[in-house]
Amino acid sequence: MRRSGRLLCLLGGSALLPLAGGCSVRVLEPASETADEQAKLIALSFAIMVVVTATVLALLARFVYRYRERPGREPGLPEQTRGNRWLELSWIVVPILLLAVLAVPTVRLTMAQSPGAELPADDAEAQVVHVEVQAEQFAWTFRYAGGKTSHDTLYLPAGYTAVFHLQSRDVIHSFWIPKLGGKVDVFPDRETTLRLVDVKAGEYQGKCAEFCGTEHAWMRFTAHVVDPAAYEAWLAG
Amino acid sequence: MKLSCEALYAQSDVILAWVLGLPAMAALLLYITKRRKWPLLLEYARTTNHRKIGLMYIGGGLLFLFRGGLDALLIRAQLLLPEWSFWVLQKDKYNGLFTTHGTIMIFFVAMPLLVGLMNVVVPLQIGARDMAFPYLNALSLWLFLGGAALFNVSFLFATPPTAGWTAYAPLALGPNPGQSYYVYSLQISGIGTLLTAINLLTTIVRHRAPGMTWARLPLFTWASLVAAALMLFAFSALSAGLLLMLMDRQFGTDFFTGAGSPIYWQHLFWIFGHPEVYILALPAFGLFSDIIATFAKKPVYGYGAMVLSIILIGFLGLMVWVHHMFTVGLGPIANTFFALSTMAIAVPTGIKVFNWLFTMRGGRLQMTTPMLFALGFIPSFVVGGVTGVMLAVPVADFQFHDSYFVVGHFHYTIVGSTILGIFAGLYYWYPKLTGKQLNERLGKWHFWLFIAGFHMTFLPMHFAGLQGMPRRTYTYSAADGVFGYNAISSAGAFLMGASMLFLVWNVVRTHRHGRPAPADPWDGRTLEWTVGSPPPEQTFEPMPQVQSAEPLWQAKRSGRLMAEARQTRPAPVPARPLTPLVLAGALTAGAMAMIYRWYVPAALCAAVVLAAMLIRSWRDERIDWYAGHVRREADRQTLYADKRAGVWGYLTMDAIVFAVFFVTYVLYTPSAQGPQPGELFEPGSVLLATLLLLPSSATLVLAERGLRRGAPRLMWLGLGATLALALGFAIAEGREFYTYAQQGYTPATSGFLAAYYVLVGLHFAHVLFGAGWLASLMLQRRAGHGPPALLEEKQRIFGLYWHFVDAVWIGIVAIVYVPSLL
Ligand code: HEM
Ligand SMILES: [Cu+2]
Ligand SMILES: [Cu+2]
Repeated sequence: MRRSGRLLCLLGGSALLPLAGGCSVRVLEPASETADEQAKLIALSFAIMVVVTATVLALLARFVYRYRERPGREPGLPEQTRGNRWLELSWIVVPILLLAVLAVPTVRLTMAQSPGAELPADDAEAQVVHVEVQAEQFAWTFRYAGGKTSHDTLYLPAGYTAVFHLQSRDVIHSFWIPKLGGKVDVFPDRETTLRLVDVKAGEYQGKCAEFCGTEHAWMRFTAHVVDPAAYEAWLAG
Repeated sequence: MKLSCEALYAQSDVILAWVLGLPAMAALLLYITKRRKWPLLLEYARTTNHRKIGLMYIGGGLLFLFRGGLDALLIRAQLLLPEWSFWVLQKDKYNGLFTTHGTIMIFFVAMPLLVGLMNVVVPLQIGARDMAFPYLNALSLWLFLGGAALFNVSFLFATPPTAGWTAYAPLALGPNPGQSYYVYSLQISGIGTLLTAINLLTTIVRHRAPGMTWARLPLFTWASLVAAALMLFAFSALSAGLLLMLMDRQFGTDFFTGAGSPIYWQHLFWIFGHPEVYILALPAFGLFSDIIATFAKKPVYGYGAMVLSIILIGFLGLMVWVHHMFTVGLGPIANTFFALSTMAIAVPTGIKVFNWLFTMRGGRLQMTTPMLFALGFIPSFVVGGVTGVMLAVPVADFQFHDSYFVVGHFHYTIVGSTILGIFAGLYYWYPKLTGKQLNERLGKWHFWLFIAGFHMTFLPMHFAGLQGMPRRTYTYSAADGVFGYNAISSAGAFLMGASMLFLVWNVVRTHRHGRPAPADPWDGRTLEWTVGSPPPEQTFEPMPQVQSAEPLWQAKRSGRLMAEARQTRPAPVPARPLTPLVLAGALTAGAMAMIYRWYVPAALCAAVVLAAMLIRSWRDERIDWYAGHVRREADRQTLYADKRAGVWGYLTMDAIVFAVFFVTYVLYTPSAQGPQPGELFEPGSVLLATLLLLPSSATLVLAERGLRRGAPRLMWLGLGATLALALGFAIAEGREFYTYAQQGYTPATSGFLAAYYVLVGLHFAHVLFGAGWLASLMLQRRAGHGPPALLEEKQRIFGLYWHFVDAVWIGIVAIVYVPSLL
C-alpha cells in the first residue's frame, strides 16, 4: 500500500525536487483504506500520464534535435507533407485505450466513494462511529455519540469506519484530513457526509480546504486516531 | 476614527499605491502634453479601425499583466517562509491579493490580450477589410477598459474583493463593497466580451475573401471562431449569474443563501467558467499551429483533424463544468458522468499535440523567438493536460481539490498555453501590430528566463498540494512540510518577473530604434503577410482570390502573383465616434454610484448612456456612407445581411440570459414561505397584457408590408399601432408590478417572487427599451433623417428584436402564468 506512494514520489517528486525536504507527501502516505484506494488510483493515473508525457517529450526532443535548422544541413525546402491517415488514427485510438484503462477503476471508485453514495450494506455490522461536525469561521466542533463534544481536535477509534455528518453555521467550508482521505464540502442549510474506512492509529493534520474568509489558513484541527479502548475512555472521561 | 500609526501602517499598501500613482499620473500627463501626443490620443479614442483597437486591447492587457503579476510576486513574497509576515499582506490583505490576481489575470489580462490579437490578426488572415462592426468594436474596447478600471478602483479605496475569483456565495455576499466592484466590473467588461464575440462570429462567417472556404481558414481563425461561439454562450450565462448575485447583494433577494442555494451559483459560475478555460486555450492552440507551420516551413499536419478537434474541444467544453464541483456532493452518478466527459476532452487535445509534433517532423525548424515559445508551450501544456486528466478522476480529485495541486495544474494550462501563446503571438505579429519587429536576442532572453521561472514556480506547487497545502491560505506552518516547495516557487516567480523586464526593454528599444519591418518578415504562408507592416487602414486593395489554404506560400513558391478577385463585397463602415467612450464611461461611473447606492447620480449616468445610444442612432455613420460610398443595391443588401447576422448573435445571447432566468424561476417556484403563484397572479391582467403585446407583432408585420409595398399609410398605421400596443402593455404590466408592491411583495419576499421579478422585469425592460427605440425610429422617419434604404434596414432590424420580445412573453405566459392558473 505504501509502495504505490513511494513509487510515485520517486518518479515525480524526489527526482525533480531533491531539495524539497525528502519525500513525504501526505496524500500518498494513506492511513485509511479510503485514502489508500485514492492513492492507488492517483498512482495509476500518474503512471499512465507519465507514459503520455514521456512519449511527447521524447518525440519533441528528437524532432527538435533532428530537424532544427543548422549550418551544414542541406538547404531547400522540406517536403510539404500534410498528414498520414494511419499515424493520425494511432493517436486517436491509443489515447482512448489508455483512458479506458483509467476509466474502469475511476467509475467503480466514484460510484462507491462519492458523497451521497449509498452506504454499503455491511456497514451495519462493521465497526462504525458517527461524528457530527459543525464548521464555522474558523473553528471545528465535533459531537460524538453520547453527546460529548470537542473543539478543533477530533478523536477516532483505530480500525473503525468513521462517518462524518457535516454542517456549516455560516459560509462553505471543506473537511479534509489528507492522510485519511479526500475532502467533502461543508454547507450551511445542507448536510453532507464523508465516510473514511478503516482509519489507522496516529495523529493527523485536518484542514479547511474551501476558502472561507480571513483566517481560512488557520482553520485547522488535529485528528487523533487512538486504539478503541483509549477512545472509549476518552468518550467517558 | 483616530488615525494611529498602526492604522496607517495597516493600509500602507494602498497609501503607497496612491503616493506612487498620483505623481506617475501627473508625469504621464505632462509627458503627453510636452510631446504633443493629445491629438494622437484623441485619434485613438475615436478610432474604429481593427488594428488600432486591437493595439489598445493589447496595451490594456499588458498594463494589467503587470498589475496582476505584481500581485503574484507579493503573494509569493508572503508565502516565502512559514508563518511569515511580509509587510501587511496577511489575512484579508492576502485574500484581496489572490482574488485581485486571479480576477485580473483571467478577465483583464488573458481575455483582452487574446481579443486584441484576434482583432488585429483575424481580419488580416481571412481578407476582411475590418471587423464586421467597427463601431461596436470600439464600444467593446471601452466597455472592457471601463470594467477593468472599475475593478482596479476597489483596491485604491482599500476594499478589494476578497472572496476569490470564483466569488462563492455566501462568502461573497458579505458587506465588503469590493464584492460589488467584482460584480459590476465583470458585468460591464462581460458585455464588451459578448459584443466582441458577436463581432468575431460575423466577421469570420461573412467577411472572408472570395475563395477563403472553411477548409482554407488558418487555424488561428478557426480557433477564434470556436472561441467566439463559446464566449457568446459562456459570458451570457455569467451575465445572468452576476445579475442574480447583484440582486442578492443589493436588493435583498436570497438566490444564493438561506432559502436559496449556494450551489446554484457554483453551477452558473462554472457553466461560464469551464468554457472560459477553452476560450483562453483554443486561440493559443490555433496560434501555435500557425507559428509551428511557419517556422517548420511545412503546412500544418492533419489540418482536418486539427479543425475537428478544435470544434470537439469547444463542444465537450460545454459539458464538463461539474468537474469543479466533485466535492460538493451532487451524487455518484453526476460525478461519474462528468468524470468521463472530462476525460473525453483529452482525446482531441492529444490529437492536436501529436499533430504539432508531426508538423515539425521532416521540417526545417527555425529557432525564432515565436518558435521557441511554441516549443516551450508543448511540454508545459502537456503537463497541464495530464494533471487535468488526473483531476478528472473524482476520487483523486477529493484529494487534489482546492489544494495547491490545482493551483499548479491551472497555471500550467493557462500560463503554459494562453500566456506563452500571447507572448508568441506578440513576437510573431508585432510587425502587423506596430510595423516594427522585436529584437530577437532580447526575445530569447525573455523566453528562457520566463520558461525556467515558470517551471520553477508551478511544478513544486503540485507537491505542496499533495503534501496537504490548501490553496488560498496566507501562510503555513513549519510542521506542514511545504517550506521547500514554497521557497522554490517564490524564487521562480521572481525569475519570471525579471524576464518580463526583457520584454519591456525590447518594446521600448524597438519603439525607439527599431527599423520598419517588411510585409513578410518570417517567410509566412497566410494572408496577413501579404498586407503591409503595419497594415494600412484600407487593406486588401486589390482583394485576393484565395485558391488554397496557404495562398501566400503557394504564390511565393510558384513565383506567380496571387490572383485578384473580380467581385468584392463592400467593406465594413468606419466611423469616428466619441459615443462608445462616453457610453462606457457613463456605465462605469453609474456602476460605481450603484455600488454605494447613490441612486441619483446612478440615474444621471443611465440617462447619459441612453442619450449616447440615441445620439449614435441619429448620427449613424452609415447615413453619409450610404449616400457617398454604397451605390449598388446589392452592396446595401450585403451590409444589411451582416447587420442581421449580428442581431441574431445578440438575440442568441439574450435568449441564453432569459433561459437562465426561466430555469431560475422553475427552480425557485413555489417557495416555502410567501404567497404562491396561484394566490398572486390575476388572470385578467395577464390576459390583458397578452392581448396587447401579441398583436403588436402583427401590426409590425403590417408596417413592414407597407414599407415593402411602398404604402406609407399602411406603414405608419402599423408603426403607430405597434407603439400604442407596446405602451399599453407597459402600463398593464407596470400596474401588475405596482399592485404586488402595494401588497408588500417585493423581490426580497421569497425565492419565487425574486425569480419572478427578475424574469418578468427583464422582459418589461425589453419592452420599454423597444418602445423607446420604435419611437426614435418613427421620429427619424418623420424627419426624413437619412437615406430611405437605411431607415428601412433599421425598421427590419427592430422587427427582429420585437418579435423576439413577443416570443419571450409567450414563454413567460406558458411557464410562469399558465401553471399557476390551472
Ligand atoms: C507571474 C506569474 C504568476 C504567479 C507567480 C502566480 C501565482 C499564483 C499563486 C501563488 C496563486 C494561489 C494563491 C492562493 O491560492 O493563495 C495564484 C492564483 C491564481 N492565479 Fe496566478 N500566478 C501567476 C500568473 C497567473 C496568470 C498569467 C494567470 C491567468 C492568466 C493566473 C491566474 C490565477 C488564478 C485564476 C488564480 C486563482 C485565484 C483564486 O484562487 O481566486 N495566474 N497565482
Ligand atoms: Cu476555510
Ligand atoms: Cu473546468
